[in-house]
Amino acid sequence: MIAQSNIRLRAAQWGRKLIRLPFLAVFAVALFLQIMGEQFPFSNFPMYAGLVPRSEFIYFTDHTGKKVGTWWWFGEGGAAMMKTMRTVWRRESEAKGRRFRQDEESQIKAANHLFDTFLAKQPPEKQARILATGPRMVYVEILVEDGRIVLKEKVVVAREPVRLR
Amino acid sequence: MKAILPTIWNFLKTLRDKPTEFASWEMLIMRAAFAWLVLWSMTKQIPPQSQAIPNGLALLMDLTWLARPDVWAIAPWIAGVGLLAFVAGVASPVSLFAPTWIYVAMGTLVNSQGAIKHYNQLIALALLAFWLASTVWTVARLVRDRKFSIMDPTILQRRAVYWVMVSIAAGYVTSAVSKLLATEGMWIFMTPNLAVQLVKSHLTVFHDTITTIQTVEYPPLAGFLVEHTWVAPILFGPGLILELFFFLALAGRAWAAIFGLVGIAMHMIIALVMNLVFPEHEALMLIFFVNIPYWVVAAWVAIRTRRKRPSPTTGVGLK
Repeated sequence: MIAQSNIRLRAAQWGRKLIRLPFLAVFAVALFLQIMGEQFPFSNFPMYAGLVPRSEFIYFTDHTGKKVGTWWWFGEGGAAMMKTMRTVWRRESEAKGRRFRQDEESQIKAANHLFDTFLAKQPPEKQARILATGPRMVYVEILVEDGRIVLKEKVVVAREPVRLR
Repeated sequence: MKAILPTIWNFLKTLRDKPTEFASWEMLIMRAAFAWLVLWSMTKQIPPQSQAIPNGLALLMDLTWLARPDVWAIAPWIAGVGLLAFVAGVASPVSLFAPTWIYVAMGTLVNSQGAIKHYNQLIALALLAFWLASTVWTVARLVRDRKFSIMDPTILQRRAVYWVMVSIAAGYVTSAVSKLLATEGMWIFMTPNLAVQLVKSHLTVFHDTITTIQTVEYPPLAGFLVEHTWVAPILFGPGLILELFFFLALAGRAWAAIFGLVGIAMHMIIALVMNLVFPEHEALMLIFFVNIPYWVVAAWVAIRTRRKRPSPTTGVGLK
């Protein structure tokens, strides 16, 4: 009985000490955010956290290879589109039990899915104008090789020009 | 040297977080600026009408109804009325309810498209912190003292602002922890790899709004960072240290102002180097940490008192 009340007393003392720890509130909220991860409105803000010597981006061209602004076509930035493509690509690869990044088939599928999704968001006249150019989507990998920055390009979406009616 | 270390240690031991004794007029300016920021951020976005890859709240419920044109046409107005009442000092648990949850739902839809964007989180966290802190305080007072005020008491506002500052500081601390966890503590030494991110952000921005010019050189700094690997830790290391120690911004007004100003400078440098802008984060720091109105008034009062007080050496000010 005495031992039990001693434990309770000790626990209460430690509790009081813990509450008095400086900056406890910030550390507690930071820990909570870290545990929650990327679940809006919470975030562990992992921007540029894992610094690997590679990155990637996408851009669009017509069938002749002339570049076209991503914003002008889709009203969305290439960075967000790349993130969406990566999420779909990863999901496709994992569903097939393949290694993400080495699974080119899933990458092509994700790229085409992304293109179709963003194209569908445009008004019909704009969709027709985009398709008339014979759109291409180019995936660019940025790497560091032998102390130099290297860009590797690959066409992941290629549509034949469709005549405007 | 022997005397300096204990002095520093004793000084550090005195540092504690505490709610700053903000004056009512300071918090009125804070509330007005914060309300404007929330409304500006809310109205510059149009929530997508789908939640293709649900995130956060969207995992639990369908929020797409908010993005329907007829609903989104009035939602910012409802939030606006709530924010106006909030600025006027009407009970925050009531006045902030609609703005908080409309903003959270809108941000959830934006982040439920497969790409996580990071410009809405800090405002949403600050709104949630203010609303939650004021609600808990109001409910506790209601239960304990059976009292309810239609207008926010000053003590409630101080507590709520303190929790807003806590949530913002925690965001920066957790960001630093994420960096350290992802690199097993070696983030600073891996910063030369930021060169590829530099190239990516520049080329992405270029290709987003391309017109007649079809090619662009990537920033010379990227190549320089790869060739001189010792430069990046010096350039980017301080940013990590600032984020990691951002909790010190809660140690008092001066600490808050210093961390706020350095934090804004960090974002401006990131905007310059990486082409990534976070005006929402800078505005939050300016409102809650730098708190310009206080320093302007403090300087004015100091100057006035010095003029009135006769100088002991020159006699200036003697009548």
